[in-house]
Amino acid sequence: METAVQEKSIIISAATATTTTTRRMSSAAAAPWADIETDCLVHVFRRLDLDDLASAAPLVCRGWRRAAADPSLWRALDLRRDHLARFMPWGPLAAAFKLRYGVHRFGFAGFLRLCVARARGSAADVALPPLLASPAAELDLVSLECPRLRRLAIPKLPAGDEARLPELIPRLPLLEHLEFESKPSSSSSFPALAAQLAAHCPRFTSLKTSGAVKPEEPPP
Amino acid sequence: MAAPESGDGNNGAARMVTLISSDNTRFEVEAAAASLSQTLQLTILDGGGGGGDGIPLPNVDSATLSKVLEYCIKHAPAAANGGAPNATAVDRAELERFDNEFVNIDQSVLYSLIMAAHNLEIEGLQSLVAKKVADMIKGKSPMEIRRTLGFPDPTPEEQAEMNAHMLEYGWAYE
Repeated sequence: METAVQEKSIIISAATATTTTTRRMSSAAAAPWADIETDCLVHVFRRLDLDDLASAAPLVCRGWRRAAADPSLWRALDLRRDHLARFMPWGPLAAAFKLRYGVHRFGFAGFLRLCVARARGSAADVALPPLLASPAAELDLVSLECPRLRRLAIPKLPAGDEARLPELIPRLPLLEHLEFESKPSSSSSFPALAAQLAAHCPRFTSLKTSGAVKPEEPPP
Repeated sequence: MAAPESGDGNNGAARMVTLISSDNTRFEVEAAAASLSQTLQLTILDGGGGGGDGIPLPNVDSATLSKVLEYCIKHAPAAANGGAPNATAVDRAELERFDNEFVNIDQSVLYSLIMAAHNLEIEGLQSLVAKKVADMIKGKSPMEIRRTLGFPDPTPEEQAEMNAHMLEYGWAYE
């Protein structure tokens, strides 16, 4: 595994060497795309997904690094779409983080921390994927670092973590929409959640359960 | 000063304005097309740009301006309809075909266009070019992006800076 990565970086530097012929107007005219106004570049970056924004754009040059760190680009964090393909340790995103950032243990939790840090408290829309490694820590991070959160989508949680949801709600005063991937299972925590939403989220309007609705399982 | 016609093109004689590029080429164009630029719209509403005096655009050269105006002329009728709720599917398909072809150009021209669209505040053109550039860099590595957009090879300083930035990311994964 390690040697494969080494080889890859050698291939990249060899490819770089072959492009020197196109360098005719290097220092005088420089690359206009390197000196482009940040505002203008942010327009381009708005159309990139988080993966490109995290793993490629900041390494292009200094100006691009500045633009890619613009918090407005990190307001909507859809980490649920294609989550299986995106966050697998052998996926392309993991490979890019290993090769470009030397990250050897790429995983969802680190990517979430990165996104939330880039948003600098401005994240408004977060969708978490199923099968979180440590749901309690991840929900804690989101509720603490995303005080401007308006929409939150959460996967099916272990009962213990689900029971903790009500105490996270006061940290999210702007919350408008809460989406569960499956019907909350512990009937006891649901009234508490509803009470907290009513007490702490004046703009709250919708609660949604997505995914397949299964019939109630008979008690064992 | 003459009161500006309420240029609805009611009797065929649409109001024209003159724009002057940074290299002093004069372009005469319908006010409705030039008004796709938020910046120009204000001047034109004030009655500027008509007759002998044109509107100077010191940041836009003639090659870029003619391309920008090509876009504006094509999009002006739809824009006048306010997003064209009654445009036919054929009209929309034709605009889409035009747009796709319009941005099928070298990255250096895309750069001039996005800067001009930014300066002149032509929202549709800015989005169109931004989307094209985003599509060109999607899924590419930093070096592939640099090559696609004609960056020179990184200087040793830049390389060192990139390496330093690499380390910055480590924290999120500890």
